[in-house]
Amino acid sequence: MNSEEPVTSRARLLAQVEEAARVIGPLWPLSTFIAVNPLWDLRHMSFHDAVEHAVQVLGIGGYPSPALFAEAYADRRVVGADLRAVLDSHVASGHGASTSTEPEVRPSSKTPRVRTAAERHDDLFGTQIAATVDREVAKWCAAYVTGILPDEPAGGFYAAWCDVVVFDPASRAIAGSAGRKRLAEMGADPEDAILACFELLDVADDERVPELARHLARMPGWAGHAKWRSRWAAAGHRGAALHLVDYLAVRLCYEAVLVRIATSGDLWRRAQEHDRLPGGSKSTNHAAQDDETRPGRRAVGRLPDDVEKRLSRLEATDVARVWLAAYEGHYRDWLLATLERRDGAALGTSRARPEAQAVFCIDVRSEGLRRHLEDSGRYETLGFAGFFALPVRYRGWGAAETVDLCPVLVRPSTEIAERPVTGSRQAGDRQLVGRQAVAAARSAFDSSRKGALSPFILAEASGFFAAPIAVAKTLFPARYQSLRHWARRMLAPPCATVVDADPAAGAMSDEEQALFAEAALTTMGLTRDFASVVLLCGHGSTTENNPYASSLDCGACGGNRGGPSARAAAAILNRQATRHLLAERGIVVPEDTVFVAGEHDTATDTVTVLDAHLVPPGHRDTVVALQSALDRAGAATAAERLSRLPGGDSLGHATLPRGRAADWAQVRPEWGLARNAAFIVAPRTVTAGVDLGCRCFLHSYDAGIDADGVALETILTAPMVVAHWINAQYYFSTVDPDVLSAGDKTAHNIVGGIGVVQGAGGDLRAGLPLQSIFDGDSAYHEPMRLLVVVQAPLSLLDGVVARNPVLRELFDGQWVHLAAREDESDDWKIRQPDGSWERWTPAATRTKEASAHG
Amino acid sequence: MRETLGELCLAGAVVAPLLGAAVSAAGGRAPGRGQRAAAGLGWVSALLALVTAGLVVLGGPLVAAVDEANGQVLVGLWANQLTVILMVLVCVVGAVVQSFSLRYLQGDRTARRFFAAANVVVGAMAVVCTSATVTVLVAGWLAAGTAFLVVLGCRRDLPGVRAATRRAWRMFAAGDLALVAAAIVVWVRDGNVDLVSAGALRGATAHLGGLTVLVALLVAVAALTRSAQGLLGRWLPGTVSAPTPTSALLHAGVVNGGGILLVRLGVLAGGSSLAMVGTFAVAGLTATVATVVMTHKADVKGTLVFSTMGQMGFMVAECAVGAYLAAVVHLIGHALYKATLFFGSGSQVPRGGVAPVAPAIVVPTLVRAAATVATTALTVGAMAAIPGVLAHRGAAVLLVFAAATVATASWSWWGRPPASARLMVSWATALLVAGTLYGLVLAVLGRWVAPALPAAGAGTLSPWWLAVVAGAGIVAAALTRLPSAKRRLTAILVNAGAAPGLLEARGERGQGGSARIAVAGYTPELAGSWEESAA
Amino acid sequence: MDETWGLTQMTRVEVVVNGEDVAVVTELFSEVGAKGFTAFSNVSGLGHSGLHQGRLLFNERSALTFLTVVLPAERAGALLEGLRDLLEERSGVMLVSDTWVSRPEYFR
Repeated sequence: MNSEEPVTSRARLLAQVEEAARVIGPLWPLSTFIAVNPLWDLRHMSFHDAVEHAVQVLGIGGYPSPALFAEAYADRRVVGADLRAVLDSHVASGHGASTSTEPEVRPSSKTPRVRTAAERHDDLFGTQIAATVDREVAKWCAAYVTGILPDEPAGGFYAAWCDVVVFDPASRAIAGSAGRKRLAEMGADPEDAILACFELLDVADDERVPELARHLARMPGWAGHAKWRSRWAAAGHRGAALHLVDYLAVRLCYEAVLVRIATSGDLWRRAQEHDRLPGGSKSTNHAAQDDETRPGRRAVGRLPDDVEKRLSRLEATDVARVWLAAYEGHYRDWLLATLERRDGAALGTSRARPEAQAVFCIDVRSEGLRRHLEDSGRYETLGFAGFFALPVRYRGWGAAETVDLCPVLVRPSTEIAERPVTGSRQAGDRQLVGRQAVAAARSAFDSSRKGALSPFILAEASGFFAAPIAVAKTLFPARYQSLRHWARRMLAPPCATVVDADPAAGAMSDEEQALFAEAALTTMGLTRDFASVVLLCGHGSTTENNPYASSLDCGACGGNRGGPSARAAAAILNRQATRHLLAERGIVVPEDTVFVAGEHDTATDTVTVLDAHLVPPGHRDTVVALQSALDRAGAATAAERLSRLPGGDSLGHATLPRGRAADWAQVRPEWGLARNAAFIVAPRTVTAGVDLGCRCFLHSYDAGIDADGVALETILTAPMVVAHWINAQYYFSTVDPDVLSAGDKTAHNIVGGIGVVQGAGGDLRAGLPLQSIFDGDSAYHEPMRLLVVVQAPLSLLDGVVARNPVLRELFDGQWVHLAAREDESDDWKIRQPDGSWERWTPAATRTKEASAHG
Repeated sequence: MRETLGELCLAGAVVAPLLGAAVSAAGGRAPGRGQRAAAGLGWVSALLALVTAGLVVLGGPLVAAVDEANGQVLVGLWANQLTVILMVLVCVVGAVVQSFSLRYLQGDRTARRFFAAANVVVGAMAVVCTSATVTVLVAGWLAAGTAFLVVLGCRRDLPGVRAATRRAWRMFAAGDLALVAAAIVVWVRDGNVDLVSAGALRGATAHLGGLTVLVALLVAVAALTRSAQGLLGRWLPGTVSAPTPTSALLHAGVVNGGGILLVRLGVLAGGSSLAMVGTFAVAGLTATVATVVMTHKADVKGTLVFSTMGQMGFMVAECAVGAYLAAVVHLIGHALYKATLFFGSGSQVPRGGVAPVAPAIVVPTLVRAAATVATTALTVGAMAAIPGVLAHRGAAVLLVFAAATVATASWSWWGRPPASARLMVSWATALLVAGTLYGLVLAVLGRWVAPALPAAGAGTLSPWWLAVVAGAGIVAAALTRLPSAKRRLTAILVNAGAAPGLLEARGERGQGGSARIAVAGYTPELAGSWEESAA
Repeated sequence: MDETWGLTQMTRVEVVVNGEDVAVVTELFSEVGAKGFTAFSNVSGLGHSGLHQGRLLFNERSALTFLTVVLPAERAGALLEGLRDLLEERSGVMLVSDTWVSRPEYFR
C-alpha cells in the first residue's frame, strides 16, 4: 500500500509524531515542577477551537462545569448583567451559533471522538485491548525511567523493551507465546516498528496523525514525560531518556499484535460462540457517577427570563462559553473599576527618598507582602520576574549538580557558583564533609534497605528509633523541625558564603553582567531615584513530605528556590565594574546604594535577608529596620492568608504557618498560586494601596523610559507567557481534574522521583494535585483565562504585538485577555480578537444603558 | 487496688477506641470535632495501655474477665508480659495514625467512616492481642478484618480501590473461615479454651488428637492470609490505591496479625510439623522472592508493599521455627518502621543541586573490606556480648542477619567515606551504639516477655532452618546480577511486581476497563495461532 | 560546472522555523543521514504569518531560527517530504536549491 522509500516514510513519520504530540503538554519531573498550559502547542488555533480539539482527542470537558457556574451564580460571583453583556457582544460579533465548522453536538459523556484501532475494536466488541495496552506500557515506562529495565547506552526505550518483552509472562498471558515473540519483531528501530504496525492495522496516510495523537492522549502523563524528555530537557539530563517515538513504537506494537489476534476471524467467531462477550459493558459512565456522589451542588438560581431565553437557544458548548466569558467579565469589571477608583484617591506620594526599595517576584503571593510592607514604613516595592533577568546555571557550595535558575523558555547562558567567603574556606570544608557524611549515611541505609538479607534486621532495629520520630513529627511538627535543624547545624555547621560574580571565578564577563543588569533595571523601571538599600527578594516554599514542593517554588527560577538568583543579582549589581559600565549606559547607581538579597518563604511568610555579612556597616541599621518591617508585613500577610486556608480551626498548634509548613501530615501547606487571575504591567502607583487578594501578578513597568518598547516586549514575551502557563495550568486542572490534574494527594505514589501515579500504577499524573485547587468538593481556584492589564501607549503595545507571533496567537486566539490604557487619565480599553480596541464599560452600566434605550 | 486499677486500664484501653469509633460516626463528615475527639480517645487508649503495661511490670499479669460459674473465663481480656506489649503497639499506632489523618484527610468526605472503622480495627486488634479465650480472640480477629475492609473501601472513588477491596474481601473471607473452622473444632472438642492458664491450651491441643494437624493447618492458613504470604498475599499490593493513612494502619497494625496469631496460639499451631513445614516453606519463599521483587519496583509505595511481604515472611518463618521472641520483636519493630516510611512516602522526590559532591577519597577494595569486617564484628560482637541476647531461641542465626545488615551498610559507607577521621570514628561509634541499644531492647524484652511466650511446639522446626532463608536470599540476589539471566529475570520480576494489584487497579479509571487481563473471548491457547492469523 | 571547478552538485535545504521546532527539524536532518547543518538563531523577518521579531531577551522558543543543510539530491527527497508534513500546520519556510561543494565526502 505504501510505495515510499523507507527513509522517506521515516522522515514523514517524525513530522507526523511531532504534529500528533501537539495535543499533549510536556510534563516536567517533580523535582522542578513547571506549570504549563497543557494545550500550549495548539495555540495556533483559538482557545475555543483548541479546547474543541482537545475534547475530541483527550476526552476532556474543557470548560468549568455547570455546577461551578451555578455556585458562582448563587454567590453573585456572576450576575444576570454579566451574562447579558456577553450575550450582546456574542451576537454582535457574529460569534453566535458555532465557531467550529462541524455542527456535531457533543455527547454528554466525555468519550473522545478520535479513536485508536484498539479503541474502535473495544467499542465494537466490548474488548479491553486499549486498557491492556495502557497497563503494559505504563508498567514498562515506570521500569525504564527508574533504571530497572536494563538500558544500552543510546539504545532507547524501544530497544530495551524488545530485549525483555520476549520473557514477559504478562505478554504471554495476553498474546500467547507466538504473539509475544511477534511483539518484539516489528522492526529494528522504533520508526520501522511504527510503520509496520500501521501496515498491520491498515492505518491510512491521513489517519496517522489522529491515530498517533490519540495514542498519546490515552496516557497524557507518560506521553507528557516523553514529550518533556524529547523536546524540553537539557541535553545530557541524567536518567533514562524516554522519547516520544520509542514510546509510540512500544504502544503500537502491543496494539497491532493484540488487535490482529482479536480480529483473526476464526478466533473471533469461536469467542462469540462461547458467548464471552460482555456486550455493552464497556466503561460505565464514571463522570455521571461522580456527579451523583459529589454533594454541595446547589441548584442554579433562577436566571432573568431574557437571559434564560437567549441561553436556551444556544448549544451546550456555546452556553459554557457565554458563562465563562461572563464569569471572567465580572472579575475584569471589578478589577478595572477598583483600579479606576484608586486613581481618584490620589495617594499623597512623597517625593522623598524611600527608606529602601524592595523588588519582589511577580508571583501573586508577593502582592500581599508588598502591600503590607508599604504600610509598615516608607518602603517602595517593585515587581519583577524572580530570576532577576539572570538566566544562570547555579552550583551551590559543594553541590554535585547544578540547577538551572531561569524560566524554561530560555537556557542558562552561564554558570555561577557559591563559595565560602574569603578566609572561611576551612568552615566551608567542615560543612561539606558534614553533608557528605549525612549523604553517605543515607546511602548506607538505602543500600541496606535494598539488600538481600540486610532489610530484615534493619527494619526491626530502626523501627524502635523511628517510632519516637514519627510521634514527634505528628504531634509537634514545628518543634521536631527545630530539633532537626539543630542536628543539621551540628553535623554540617553553616558557613558564610557568597555567590561569586567575579569573571575570574568563571562567571560571565563584565560586559555581559552590565547587559543583564541594564535589562533588569530598565525592564522593571528602576533607573533613577535609587534608595540606599535595594532588596532583591526571591521566593521559595519550605514544606514537608510534599511531592509537589517545587510547584510552590519560583517558576521564574525553573521551579527552584529564588534565593540564589537574588544573591547572584545583588552580587552583580554591587560590583564596581558593573556600576561603571551601567553609568556609561546612562544608569547611575549612587555610591551609597547597596543591593541586598533576600528570600520570601511563602509557606511561612517570613523574609530572610541573605548574605547579611556582606552588608556594609553604614547600611546595617537600614537593613535591620527593613528586616523588622518585613517581619511585621510577613505576620500580617500570614494572618490574611490563614483566614483563607481550610482546617485553620481544627489543627491546634498546626494553625500557625510555621507548624503547617513543618507538618508532614499537611497536604495543603499553602494555596500556592490558586485564584491567580490577572497580570498587571504598570508602575506600582497604579495598584498601590489596593487589596488585590493575592490574585495578581504585578510587573513593574514604566513606559516613560521604554520608547522603543523593548522592555514591554520582554515582559510580554517572557513573564507574561510564564504567567499564562501558570494560569492555564490552574484553569485546566480545575475544569478537568480527572485528566488534567494530578488527582488526590493522599493516594499519590511517587515513581522514580519524577512523577506520581494514583495508587498501584498506571499513568503518571500531570497537572496540579486536587489539594492545590479544591477545598473539599468545591473549587477554590476560579478557572478563568488570564487578564493582562497594561499601562502603556496603545501604539507601542500594538507594535510589540504585531512583531511577535506568539503574542498575536495568545491575544487574537483569546487565550489571554488584554486591557490597556495609556496613562491614569485615559479610559481602559479592551483588545478585541481582531486587534481593535473597545472602550471598557462595566456590564452593569451597559445593561443600565440598554434598558434606558429600550 | 492494683488489680482493680489494672482491670479498668486494660478494659479502658480496648473500649476507648470503640468509643472513638462511635464518636466519629456521630460526628461530621470532614475531619472535625468528632474526629478530633476520636484521635484524643486514641491517645487515651495508648496511655491506658502503657499504664497497664506498667502495672504488669510491677505486679504481674492482669485479667479483666467475666467468669463462668465454675470459675473458668467466659469472655475477657488478659494482660501478661506478651499481650500487653502487643496491645501498646496497636494502641500507639492507632493514635498516631489518627493524629496524622486529622490534617492529612482534610476535606475528605469519607473521613468520618475512616476514623470510625480505623478505631474498630484498633479496638479489635487490641482484643486479638489481649483476649483471654480462644473464642474472644477469633471474634476480635473477625472484627479487625471486617473493619479493615471498611477502612480500605472508604475512598471507592479512587482508582483501584474497589478492586483492591473486593480482592482483600475474598481472601480475608477464606483466611478467616479457616480460623473459624479451627475454632469450631477446638470448641467442639474442648469448649471455651482459656488462654490465661498456661496449661489450658496445651491440654486442649493434646486432647485434639488426630485433629491437631487439621487445626494447625487451618490456623496457619489464617495467619498466612492476614500476613500476606505466598499466593494468599495477593490482596496486599492493590491496597496502595487507598490513602496513605490506610496503608500505615494496615502495615503497622493489621498485616502483622498473622504473627500475633501464631505467637498467641503457638501451642496449637506448633503442634503439627506438617503445618510448620508448610508455613515455613511459604513464608521463607515469600521472604526471598518478595525482597527481590521489591528491588524491581519503580514506585515508592510498591517498594514498601513488597518489603512488607518479605518482612512478614521473615516474621512468620521465625514463628515456624519457634523463635517467638524474635518474631515479636520483629513485628513490633517492623510496624513502627513501616508506618513511619508510609507516612513519609511523599518525601521521595530529590531536589536538584542539594546533594554534595562525592568525597574525594576512594578507598581500595581491600581496605574497604577490612573496615567493613571490623565495623561489623565490633557491632555484632557488642550486641552478642549483652547478657541475655543469645539466650533465646534462634538468636545465633539472627545474628547472621544482623551481621548482614551492618555489613551491607558499612560496605556502602566505607566505599566513599567523608574525609574526616572524626566522622569515620563517629560512623563506627554510631553503629556500635545503635547495635548496643538494639541488643539492649532485645535483652530487656527477652527477659521480660520470654516467660509469657509459648514453648516451641512438637512440630516447630529447628531455628537453623532460618539459615536456608539466608542462603536463598543470597542465591536470588546473585541470580539477578547474572548477565545471562538478567533480562529474563527483569521481565519476570517487573511483572511479578505489577500483578495482580496493578492488573486490577488499572481497570477503574475512566479510560480503563474491567479487571480482566486478556482481550475478551480468547485465551493464550487460542492466541497461540498467531501465525495463521497473521498470514 | 563540476567539471570546470572540480565541484559536486548537491541539494541545499534551508528552513526557517520557530525556536521550539528546531529540535524536530534537526532530528529530521539526521534521520535522512545529513552529516551536519548550520543554524542561525534569533533571525527576524516578514512572512506569511506577519512580522517576526529577531531577538527576544528571555524567550528563545518563540524566536526564529534559520537552518541550512546540504545533502545529496537522492536523499533530499525524504527530507522534503518530512519537512512538508511538518510545516503543513506550523509557521515556517523551506527553501530548496542546487548547490555545489568541493568535498562531497563531507556531505554523504
